[in-house]
Amino acid sequence: MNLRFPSTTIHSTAHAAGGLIVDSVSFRYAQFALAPLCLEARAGELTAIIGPNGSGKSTLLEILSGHLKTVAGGVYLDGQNLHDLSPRERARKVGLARQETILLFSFEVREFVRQGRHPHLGHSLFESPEDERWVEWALEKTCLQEFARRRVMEMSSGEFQRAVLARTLAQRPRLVLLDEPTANLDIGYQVEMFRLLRELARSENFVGVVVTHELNLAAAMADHVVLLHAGQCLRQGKPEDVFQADLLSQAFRTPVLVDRNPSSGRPRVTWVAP
Amino acid sequence: MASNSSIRNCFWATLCAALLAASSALARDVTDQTGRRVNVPDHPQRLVSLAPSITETLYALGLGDRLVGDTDYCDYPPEARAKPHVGAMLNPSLEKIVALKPDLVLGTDEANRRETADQLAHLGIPLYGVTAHTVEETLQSLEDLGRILDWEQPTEKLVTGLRARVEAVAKRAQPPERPKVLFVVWYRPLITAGKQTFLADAIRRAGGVSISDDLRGEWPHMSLEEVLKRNPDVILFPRTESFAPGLNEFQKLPGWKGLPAVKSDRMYLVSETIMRPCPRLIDALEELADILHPEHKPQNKTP
Amino acid sequence: MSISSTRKNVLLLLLALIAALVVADLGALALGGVHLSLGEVWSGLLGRDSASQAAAIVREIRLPRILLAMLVGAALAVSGTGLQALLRNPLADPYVLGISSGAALGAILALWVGGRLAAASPLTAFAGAVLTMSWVYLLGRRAGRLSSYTLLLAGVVTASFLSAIILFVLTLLSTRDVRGTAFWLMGDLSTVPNVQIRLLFPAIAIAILVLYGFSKDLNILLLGEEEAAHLGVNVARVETAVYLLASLLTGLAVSVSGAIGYLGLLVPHLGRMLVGNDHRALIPTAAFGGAIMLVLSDTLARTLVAPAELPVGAVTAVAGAPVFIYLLRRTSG
Repeated sequence: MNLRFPSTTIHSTAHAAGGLIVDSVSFRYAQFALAPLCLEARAGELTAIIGPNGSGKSTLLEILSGHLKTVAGGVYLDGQNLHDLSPRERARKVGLARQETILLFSFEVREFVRQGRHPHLGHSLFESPEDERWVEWALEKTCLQEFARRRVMEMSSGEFQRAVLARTLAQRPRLVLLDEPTANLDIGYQVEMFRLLRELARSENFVGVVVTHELNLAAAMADHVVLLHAGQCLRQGKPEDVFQADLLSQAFRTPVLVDRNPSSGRPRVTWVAP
Repeated sequence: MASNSSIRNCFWATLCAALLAASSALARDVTDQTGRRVNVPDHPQRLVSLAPSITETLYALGLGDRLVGDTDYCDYPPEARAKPHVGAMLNPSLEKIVALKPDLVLGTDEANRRETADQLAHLGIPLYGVTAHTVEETLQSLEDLGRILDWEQPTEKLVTGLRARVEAVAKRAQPPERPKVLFVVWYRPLITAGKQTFLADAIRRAGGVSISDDLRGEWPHMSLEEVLKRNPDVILFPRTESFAPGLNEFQKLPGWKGLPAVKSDRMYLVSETIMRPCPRLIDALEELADILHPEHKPQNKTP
Repeated sequence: MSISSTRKNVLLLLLALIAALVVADLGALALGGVHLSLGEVWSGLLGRDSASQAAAIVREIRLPRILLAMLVGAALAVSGTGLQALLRNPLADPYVLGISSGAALGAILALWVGGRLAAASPLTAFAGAVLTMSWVYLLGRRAGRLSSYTLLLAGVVTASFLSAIILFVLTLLSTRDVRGTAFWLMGDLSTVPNVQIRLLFPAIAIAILVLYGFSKDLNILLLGEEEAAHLGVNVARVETAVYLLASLLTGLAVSVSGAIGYLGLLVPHLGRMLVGNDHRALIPTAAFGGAIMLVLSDTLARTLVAPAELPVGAVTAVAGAPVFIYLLRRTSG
């Protein structure tokens, strides 16, 4: 079975509609290298990055945020190289939500979400009425309004993850990056989170990129999927294109079957009983 | 022939040694000045001092040659510096003390620790504790020391002379005018002498009255407000190397500069031996009397 | 409870804090070994009847002390707040990074040398503080920039080391000088020349104001260094600035008044209980709260065992420990 390495195919529509273009980026840690990667993600769509542990997903996410400098290549958002921006300007355009530990110093949910407005505050020490409006909007979109005065420490994992998402939304970014937003969540919260992400990506027209282990959720909810393996992009494209049994079995080192989810019509992955 | 006389020499040497050993093994149980039972030899020849006041007392008594060791801080008289040192007062080196083979170690309850005395007792070395809380107790302590050290006559002579000087000072310092005195041990925080130190007694004998002699403890912290309220006539500072500000600095410090004694410059340095229970205390007492009652200063002072 | 940190709310908060401070000050001016009436305090302040003993007590003894207490209390409390945010550790206090040990060592060495140098001990103390601050900074860097974890370790190690040296030097001092070093261990607010207070006021005020300018950054920094960077905070610059300002505040306070404990640890937490974690409200609360606490503690120190005086650091410790235990139980309960 051959694993095909895709050639560079950049959709020209990505430029027109706005989106993220990753052009031949490569990166190197001491024991790990991210080979020259190309990928794209369109505005208004949800892109999922999947792959086994150690394939470089989180590293890729850091690169996409503009935070990690690449050895070669560039990351372009709406045509602009993210590395050319100052950290503050970048924070206005790129929101990164990672798994966070609950803080020792607890804030109320509203204060927590309000921190997302920090890149927009400029020299002012306090938030403007417009900033407060966006905070309210973020709380509303994530259905956290009644939690606004609750302490972040007192929330369940699912609610906390929503708060993190709300904070990222409050940044009003063009690119929303999420690293395993559904880890430690039950299936109900998982489905809800992905549904929310997809809906928001459409309504707010941002580029949504999610790194996830939830293969079936990615298959069901994402518009575009990128499969990584050992620092290389094995396949990217529509879920149907990427979710191929032989590809996945090789990548995840365990035999899997791919069929169709009867309710959604999207691919469904099941592992083969040993 | 040679072997016979050498045997005889050995015999006499051994007998003498035995007698000598026996004589210095002569000892008796006494209660020292701090209330401890100590077994002191009758004729102690090798002495170790664990406090500067004891060192200078021994020299004043003329027993300097019996002193085989003292502390690193024993600097008076200058000869004391040349003696072998055993360390500091709180934690002297037991090894060094033992190596000096003393018959008797002398310490005070102010500077030395009970633990040191106990440890030396374990090692078979007696420590005789000396203490004094008033001028009179200082003189009595001297007399007692004379008895312990088998040196009664010279000690009596010295103490009699000191007593006479104390009486002379008392005659000068007659009421009704007793200036109020503040003795500043340290200025930041303000530490003064409480009722349990013999400073109050010394000040009284010199013809003054200490404004802090109702405060409990030996070295209480006093508040400046209280000093202002009690309004001392004279402020005294110990004359030491490390006393930081010059006296006229106090005329600029808030709180101090409002005190009448500071404004009228009645601030004096006094020898720090005013706090030490030893013969030089009497010198300091006379110095203090001169400060407090300059009008009664004798024309020719006896040295 | 936390108030919403808007400009209006923070201004109202400031007014309330200033009022509380004024009340505490009036109380401190009136109370002491000699109890004065408010009328006497008032005329003493205005300079009327300057010959009376009451006026002398008010102007010469109590007023300088209270001014110093306000400055030192504010400096320590704000320093503690900044360090707790910088190190993301609620147990951090102004002394955890070794600054006060460095200052104490500077002063104690001057005392040991004696003479004119001993008189300049506030300067040598400040020099000790600055040297320690620089040393810990250099030690606390990792990969070329400040890391809060490494900084904490560097500070703790330095503090222990300096404390050991201090104990060693103490054994070299004669017993009488050792009594004077009680100042360093327990703090003292008396007998500070007016020129020092005049220099201290702008230095501390400016440092606190500049630190306040970083309050929104400090809020974000609490999320973690990486998260803060993702939100656009220049983490290296903010951490360095906060470290320098907090250390400066501590160095200034300790050089003139010795190591007064517990304030820098407790007041930020009490502030958090009142106004929440947002530093835009917390820093002013800590500043005024620290001032008020130290003024009150000093009043107690002067009053409880009059005519004698307790060391003010003993009062803050004895009062502070139960408050701390109470806080601990409340947050873990």
